[in-house]
Amino acid sequence: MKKIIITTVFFALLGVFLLGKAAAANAQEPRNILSISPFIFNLRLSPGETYERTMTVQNILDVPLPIKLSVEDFLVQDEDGGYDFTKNDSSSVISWITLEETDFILEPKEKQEIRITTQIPTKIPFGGYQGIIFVQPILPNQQQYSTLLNAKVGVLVLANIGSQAYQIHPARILTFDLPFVLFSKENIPLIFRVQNNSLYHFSAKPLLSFDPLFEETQSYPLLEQFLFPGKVRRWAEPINPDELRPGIYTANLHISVGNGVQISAKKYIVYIPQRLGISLVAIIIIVILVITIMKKPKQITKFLRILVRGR
Amino acid sequence: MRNIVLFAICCFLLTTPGVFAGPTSTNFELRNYDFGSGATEDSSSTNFSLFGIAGEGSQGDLSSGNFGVGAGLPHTIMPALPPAPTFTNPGNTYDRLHIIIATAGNPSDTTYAIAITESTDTNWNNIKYVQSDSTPGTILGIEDFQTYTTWGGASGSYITNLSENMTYKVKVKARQGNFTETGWGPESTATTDVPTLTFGVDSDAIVFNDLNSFNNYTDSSKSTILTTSTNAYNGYIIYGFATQVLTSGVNTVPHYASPNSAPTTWTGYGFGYSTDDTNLVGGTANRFTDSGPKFAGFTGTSPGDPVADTSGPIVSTILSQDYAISYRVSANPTSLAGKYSTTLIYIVVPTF
Repeated sequence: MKKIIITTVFFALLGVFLLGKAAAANAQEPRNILSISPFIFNLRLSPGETYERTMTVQNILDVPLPIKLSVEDFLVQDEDGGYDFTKNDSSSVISWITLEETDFILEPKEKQEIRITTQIPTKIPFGGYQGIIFVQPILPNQQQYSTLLNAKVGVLVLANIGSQAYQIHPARILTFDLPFVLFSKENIPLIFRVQNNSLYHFSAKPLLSFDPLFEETQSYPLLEQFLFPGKVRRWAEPINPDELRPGIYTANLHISVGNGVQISAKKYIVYIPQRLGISLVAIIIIVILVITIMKKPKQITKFLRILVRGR
Repeated sequence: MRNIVLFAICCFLLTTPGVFAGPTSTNFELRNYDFGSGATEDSSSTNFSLFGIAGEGSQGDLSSGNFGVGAGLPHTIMPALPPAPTFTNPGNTYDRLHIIIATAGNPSDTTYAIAITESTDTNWNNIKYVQSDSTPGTILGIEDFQTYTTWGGASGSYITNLSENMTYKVKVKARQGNFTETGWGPESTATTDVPTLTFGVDSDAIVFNDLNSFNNYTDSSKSTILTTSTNAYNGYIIYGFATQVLTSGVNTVPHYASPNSAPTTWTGYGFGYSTDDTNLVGGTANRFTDSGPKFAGFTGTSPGDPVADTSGPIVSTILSQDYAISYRVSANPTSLAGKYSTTLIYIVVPTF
């Protein structure tokens, strides 16, 4: 009888434990809702022309999902390149884009291609324009819940209108900050800022190289980022040049800004590992001391006597 | 006098032709011992004739589907023809493909150029050349010949600015000084992917506990998991905002006062959130997690503030990356009873 009670209690506890685990898993289970592709349209367009693209929206859920599409303008923030969805009257992307459907229901796991028609006016200033297409599931109004959650996915539309003519200085490096003396080759703070002087957006591709006096150049490709017309973009990332050896280097920053054009800046740096630096300082101090003793032995003797005897 | 006579004899002997002639036969005479081989009348045809010294004679039987023997001294000092490079899409990327050049054992100062076109371009009519910045261009300049090390060595490098969902083919040639450029080597192909962004939240709604004196009018046990999968090179940002403050009729629970840029340890009343993203844009990277959790209040306008992000470069597809947003609501005990509600919207956008 005692064994039966113990066994029953054990299985009851085990059941409670497993149910608890399952409940916790359900509560925190990640759940994808929808998928879109592509998420960026990087277009080169001409005035007076009409273009068609398609975007695929997929319902990942096992239940039907109502979808709403909308197009919005956005501005690009300086420096960090963030989004600013403040209404922007200067951009006309909204008026150019027509979506084949804006409200529809996707069956479970269904994919749907949406035709996006972009009609460019015949008279439009050349330059770069941007907008965003939002894909949003529509959730039923569930009044019984205190806080509803919803998700939106943004599809980036970047358009350069007109032929992107060759420009000698489409961008310039405003600042290029790298410490002059490096005591460590780990997490070297690198900050540089680049301004786009052209009418168009482009993807800027930086390459940082360390040119020593004798050895081979070491190059480190950095993150590519879009530069928007008139905007400044900041790169701030620590670098870890593993192969750097003690010595004097020219740090060259080359940024490819499209059409085969590169802009560049350079700085001189010295890499002295911390231990080597301390040793060098110690050696220099010893050398100075020895020279001083050799040049002025009487004064040193007098100084030491005063130091020892106190007079 | 004797010396002058000897010198005159030597000069005579050295300048007199035929006295020290090289080997001869009925067909040829080797006039000197310079390097090179003799050309004969066989070294010309209706299409060409060979002038000067020939290093290697080319015959019809000195070539096959796999190799050919070229004529001329430069051919003998050419680098070996580069085999097909390793050309792949390891990270399922949509605008770049990865290439590792095969050196064929050439010396380290050998430079290589890469040609690229779409795989459907059978005859390479729209050939482009990978420029020194790794983007395709129409002109092959001398600066586009780079060493194996500059092309990334054994780690390789990415050819960028490619179109999505497209199969490309590449081939490589080598050169080691003037007049030593090889022909193009064999081809390799790889395909770019489609840029995809998948996003979800773990539930449609959250239900806070009833707030009363037993729980000090506070609930901090609820959270939301935001899940993202993408191959976006520059990564993504998730913004969050609330359409309104927690509202019940005309009564409200305000948003927590601290902003996203400077979250604080919870104090006072309101509805706020924290994130487990330790490297968040928009301020000090770990501002929510350092000595945390720290809380901030939602904003009421789209797109809101960054609550999670993953920065680029993303060179391998992100699969189901989770970030947890935890909430805390603390009502003033003097607040009127009622069902307070709002809607939180999370927006994921690719970073550019």
